[in-house]
Amino acid sequence: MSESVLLFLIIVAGTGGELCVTRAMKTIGEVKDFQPVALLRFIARAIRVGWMWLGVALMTLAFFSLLAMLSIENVSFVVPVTALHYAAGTIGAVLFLKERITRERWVGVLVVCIGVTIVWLSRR
Amino acid sequence: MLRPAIFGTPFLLHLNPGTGLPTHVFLRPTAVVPDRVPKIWTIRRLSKGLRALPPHNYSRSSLTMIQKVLLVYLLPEGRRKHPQRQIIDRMKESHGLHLKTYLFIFLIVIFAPLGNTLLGKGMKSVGQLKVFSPAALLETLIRIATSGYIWLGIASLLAFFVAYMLVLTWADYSYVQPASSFSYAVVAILSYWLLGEVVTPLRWLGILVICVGVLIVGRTHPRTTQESTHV
Repeated sequence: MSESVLLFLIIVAGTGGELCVTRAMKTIGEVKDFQPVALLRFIARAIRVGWMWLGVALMTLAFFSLLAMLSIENVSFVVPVTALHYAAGTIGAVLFLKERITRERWVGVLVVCIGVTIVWLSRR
Repeated sequence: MLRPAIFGTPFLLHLNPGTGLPTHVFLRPTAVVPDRVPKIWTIRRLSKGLRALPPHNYSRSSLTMIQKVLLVYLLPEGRRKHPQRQIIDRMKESHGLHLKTYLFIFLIVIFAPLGNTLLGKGMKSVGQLKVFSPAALLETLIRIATSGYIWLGIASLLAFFVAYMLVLTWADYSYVQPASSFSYAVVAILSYWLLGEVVTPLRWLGILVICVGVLIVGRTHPRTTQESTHV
């Protein structure tokens, strides 16, 4: 049960965090100058965007959920099941970013889900 | 004055000698287009060879201009009309670049699973996370922060991230991403070797299926939005 909750947090918080950071980066705009001063200015702009904080918070939650799951389950179980983020990322891209997903990609996502189910069934 | 736009790409920039700003973009006559690129950038009328694109009002840096060209002129999506047009991968241009790419993919496939395995080892020694009270949570966090394996794991994941970013500066995402699917198999091998975990045949099967799935996902077009820019 706790594994399911942790996996849910790893996948949903991780993917949600990435989506929030993506949104924040889109708000800030493209990085064109890679000089140290320009990069510092970029970071200063980034920390003023709420989405960035939300994204970092969600990613932190996902990381600690991963650590929690690693403390109770085998690495050879935890890491493969986190491949579900391909499915979550694809669904998130459709729902929030209105992306159009090719059939081939959906097939890949389906295969990943089947693999995750098999690994899940191999749980001790 | 013709100058290569981006190393290894089939573009040349025509620069205004006065301002130094690009005025035209040409497709190289000996354009070497990576196999997977047409899926990303469906190049218009590629068969016509050298092709000048109309001048633009480039007020921004040349880097921005190149990105603009990639976005505007090299239309995304669309199945390859001529799969027989198997033009040599740009990585074959240079044996060194080819080797470098393999080396970095190897580092990616090693560092990410190694990081996760070290985190796993660290967390096994820390024990189950206790979040029942602030004091117990703090104690667990301190044990995590003082675990050498956790820091080694984080360092390994950072090394993976750096290698991943670096390889993407010259190799295509659609080339690197499927290759990284092997890391799911490597993590099982490392957890067996380093942590002594028992990996059952069923789990191996699941991991194999995941690798195949990630390979398929990675082979699809990285840009999934419909074309929104027009010439």
